[in-house]
Amino acid sequence: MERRRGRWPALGCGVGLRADHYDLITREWPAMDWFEAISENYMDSRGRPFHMLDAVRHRYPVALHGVSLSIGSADPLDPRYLEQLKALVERIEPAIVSDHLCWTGVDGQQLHDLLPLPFTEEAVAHVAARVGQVQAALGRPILLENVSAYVTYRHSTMPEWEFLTAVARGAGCGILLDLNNIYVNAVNHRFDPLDYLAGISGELVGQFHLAGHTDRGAFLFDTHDRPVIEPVWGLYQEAVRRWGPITTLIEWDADIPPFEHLAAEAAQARAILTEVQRLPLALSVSGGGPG
Amino acid sequence: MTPPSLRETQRWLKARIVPAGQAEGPSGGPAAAPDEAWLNPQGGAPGTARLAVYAEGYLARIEEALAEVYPATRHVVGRHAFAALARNYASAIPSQDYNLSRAGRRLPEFLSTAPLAGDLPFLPDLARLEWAVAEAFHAAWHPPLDPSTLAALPAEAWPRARLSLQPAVARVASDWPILDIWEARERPVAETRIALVNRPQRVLVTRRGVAVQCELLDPPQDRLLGALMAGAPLGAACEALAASVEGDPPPVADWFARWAGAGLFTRCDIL
Repeated sequence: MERRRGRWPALGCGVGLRADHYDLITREWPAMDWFEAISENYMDSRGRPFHMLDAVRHRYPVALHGVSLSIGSADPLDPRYLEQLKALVERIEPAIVSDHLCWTGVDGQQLHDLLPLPFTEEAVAHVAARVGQVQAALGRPILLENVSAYVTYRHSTMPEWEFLTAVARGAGCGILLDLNNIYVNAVNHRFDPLDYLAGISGELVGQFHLAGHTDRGAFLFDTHDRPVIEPVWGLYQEAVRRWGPITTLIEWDADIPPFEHLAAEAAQARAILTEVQRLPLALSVSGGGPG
Repeated sequence: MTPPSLRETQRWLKARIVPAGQAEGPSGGPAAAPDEAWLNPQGGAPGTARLAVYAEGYLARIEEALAEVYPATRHVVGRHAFAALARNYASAIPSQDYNLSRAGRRLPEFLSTAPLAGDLPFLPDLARLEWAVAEAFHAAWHPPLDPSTLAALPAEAWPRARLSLQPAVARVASDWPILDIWEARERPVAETRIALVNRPQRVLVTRRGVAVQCELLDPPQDRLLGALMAGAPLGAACEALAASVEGDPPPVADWFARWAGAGLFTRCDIL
C-alpha cells in the first residue's frame, strides 16, 4: 500500500531561499532536502537573484512559490505574469509550482497582500476555471495554499476547508496546506483545527508549510517571523500521521534568522516525518481523512 | 438581500485597504454598506478593527519596497520623513505592477512634485539614479562583444558600425552631484559634507558581474554613449561629438577600448 497517495513529489523538509543566505549557500552548499523560492523574486530578474536560483537548482530540488497570481481576483489573469512565470518554470524545472487561494488586487490595482475570498459557489467556480487556464499555460498542475485571514464574510456559505477542497477538486489542482495558517484562522475565527484536517482529503495535499505568527492579543497575525509554535507542531504531527511524509517547508519571510536556525527547524520537521515513517503502517495511516 | 458578487466584495475590501487619497468617493450600492453588513462578528476584535491589519499592511509593504530600492533617498531625508513620503506616495500612486519590488517605479516623478524637493532639489534625480541601479541589478548581462572584434574593424567600416549595449547599461544626468550623494548613502549624515552648487554629474550605471557599478561620465562621454544608445552609427555619433567639443579631439578610441573591456557592448552591426 502506498503511503504517498498523491501525484506530488516527496522532497522531504526544506527551507525558503532567501537573499540573506545566498552567500552561505553558494559557499558551503549545506545539506538541505530542497529550497522554496518566491517566484516573483526571480521571474523578473536576469541579475543576481536569477543566477543564485539557477546555481541552487543545480544542487537541490526547488519549488516555485508565487504570491501574486491573484487566482481569485475578479480581474482577468495577467498574461504578462503567466508568461514570466512560464519562462521561469521552463528554466528552473521546479519540482512544485504553487501560489495562494486568495486575491491580491482588483480593477487593475495591486494590493500586494493575500486577501481572503468569500467561501461561495461563485468563488469556487471562478477560481477553478482560472486554475484550469494557469495549468494549461504552464503545462503542469499547481498547488494552492490556504491563507491566513483576519476577517470572514457574512455571505460565505461553507467552511474554509470545504472551499479549499471544492476548488482543488473542481480545478484539478493540489493543496499546499499551511498548518500555521490553519491554526491562525482557527483561533481568529473560532473553529477546531482538527475539523479542518478532517475536512481535507490527503491525496489532494502536495505540500505543507510551517511558520510562526504573532499574537496581537485580540487575534493572531501571520508574520512568518517567529519559530513554529508547539500547537502548530502538534497539528503537523497529526497531519503527517494521517497522510504520510508529505513535502514540508519551514517558512520565514521577515526577521530571517541565520541559516543554521532554519536548518534546525527543518531537522525538527524531518524528525517528525521520519518518526511517522517508522511507525507500523497500520498506525501511520489509521485515522486518515476521507481520502 | 442578494449576496454581493466577487467583484463587489473585492471592491469593498480594496476601498478599506488603500489610503484615503486613492479611495473612490461614496458611490452608493454595496460598497457604501457598513462593515458589519459584510463581515461576520469576530469573537475577540470587531471586524472593523481587523480590517486595519490589511490597511497597515499595504502601507508597510509599499514603504518597505521603496526603502529597498531607494536607500540613498531614505538616507538623505531620514527614516521618519521617508515613512511619510511612502505614505503620501501610496496615497497618490496606485500600484499597478504585480511585482511589489516595482511598486516604487514612479517615485522619481512623484518626488518632482513633492514638497521635499523644494528643500532638496536633487531628490528626483537621486531617485532616478536609484531606480536605474535597481533596473540594472535585475537586467540581463549578455555575452559581451570580444574587444578584439572592435580593434580588428577596418577603418572604412567604422562610420557604418552600430554598437548594441547591454540592457543593464543606463545613463542618468543631473544638475546636482547625485553620484557623490548616492555613494554617501551609508555614511552618517552628520559626517557628510557634499558641495551641491554648480556640480552637475552624469552617471554611467552598469554592472561588473552581478554587482551594479556607478561611475562618472564627462559630458562628451555622456553625449557619445547617449548617441550610441539611441542607435546612431559610430560615424554620425562621433561627428556630432566633434562638432560639440572645442579644442583637441577627445580620446574616443580610449573610451571605446575601456567600454569594450568592461563588456558594455553586445554586438556590432555594419549598416
